[in-house]
Amino acid sequence: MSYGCKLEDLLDVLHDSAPAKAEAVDLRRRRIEHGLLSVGLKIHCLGKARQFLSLVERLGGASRVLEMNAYRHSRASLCLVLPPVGNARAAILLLECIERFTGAALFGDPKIQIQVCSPGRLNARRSALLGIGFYLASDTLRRYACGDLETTASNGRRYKRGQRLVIYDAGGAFDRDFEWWEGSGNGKDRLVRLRLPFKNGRSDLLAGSGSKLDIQNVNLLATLLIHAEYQGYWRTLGKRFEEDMESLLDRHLLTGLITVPWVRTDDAEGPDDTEFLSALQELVAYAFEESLRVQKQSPILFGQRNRSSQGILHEIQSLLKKYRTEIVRQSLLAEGDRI
Amino acid sequence: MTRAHQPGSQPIDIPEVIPNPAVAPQEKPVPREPPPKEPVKVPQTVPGRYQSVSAT
Repeated sequence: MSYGCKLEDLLDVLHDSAPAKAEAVDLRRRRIEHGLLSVGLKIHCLGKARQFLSLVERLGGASRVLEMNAYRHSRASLCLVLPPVGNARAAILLLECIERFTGAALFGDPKIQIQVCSPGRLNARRSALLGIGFYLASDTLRRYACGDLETTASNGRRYKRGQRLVIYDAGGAFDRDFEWWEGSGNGKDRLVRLRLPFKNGRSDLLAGSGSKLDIQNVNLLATLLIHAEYQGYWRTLGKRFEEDMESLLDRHLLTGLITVPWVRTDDAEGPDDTEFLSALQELVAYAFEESLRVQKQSPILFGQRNRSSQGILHEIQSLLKKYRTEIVRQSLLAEGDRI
Repeated sequence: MTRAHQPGSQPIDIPEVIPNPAVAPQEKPVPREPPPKEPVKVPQTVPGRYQSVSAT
């Protein structure tokens, strides 16, 4: 990945229209919160992207900011690659600064597609959990049409990433200078490395028309799964999360969804997206049906029951809330022990 | 919005995006009016006993 601009240059430009927020991003840009992963963002603009022209111009023009990166959504006129920051809050603030500068909304606009980038490549099974978790926990339930997930890297000569919610990086620049919380042998002590353990490699999620909650959820999910995969400090929590998630899918007879290729690995053969798109349609149909069922339930009868009987959408919310709380609690406890 | 239509039946509209009923919508902060400024208390006339008297 080539970052279209340096964060300092971007913040300098954005400071004119959003000084307080730009300064807040600058302060938090390298700060890792509770051992969660750093966050990168790409903005694919499906419209004419007029709102970004002034920003691109201020950053050095299209040839410097945009054309060096050939990757984008297949229907996008522009893909702005933002440099990664240390935490989801800073990433959201950065988008808010851009909103202020351009005067146009970035969240919830169907013409703006947000891609959330997390360091480290997840295996196929964990990529499935990332995609499913993102979808069910989002504040909007989306239907996908053919081509909605198509990028310039879907069927290129060099990279065949297919049409997927989760896609790997395509090499290129990778900012390793973020803290990584490593687990010790006893599983309790925390070793803070100053650099990420990956030389490159990312698992990105095409959130589509995304929200702030989506960015926070993807950051949480990716942290749990990446730590489980690469023996990070949160590996025990991450593995427990996987078990909980698989058990949740099992209760809803959706375990089969995990076995299809949610990410196209480099060794995958053939450009066939059918299996994944069928699985995605099954998930979408289940979620939409579930949302209708939830809306039809009488609050008087239904409100008294426990959350787990309220269906998959409530269950996934509870699960993420539980793990978010647990990460914060354990990281604060660890901080307390150090003092 | 997608419109599904079969001959002989009423067309139906299928939404492409719906809110997730399990997620409480985030309330937007209600902008509050700034509190009224306190009037600046400047005495219009300075009492005579505080007036400086030239020593000349």
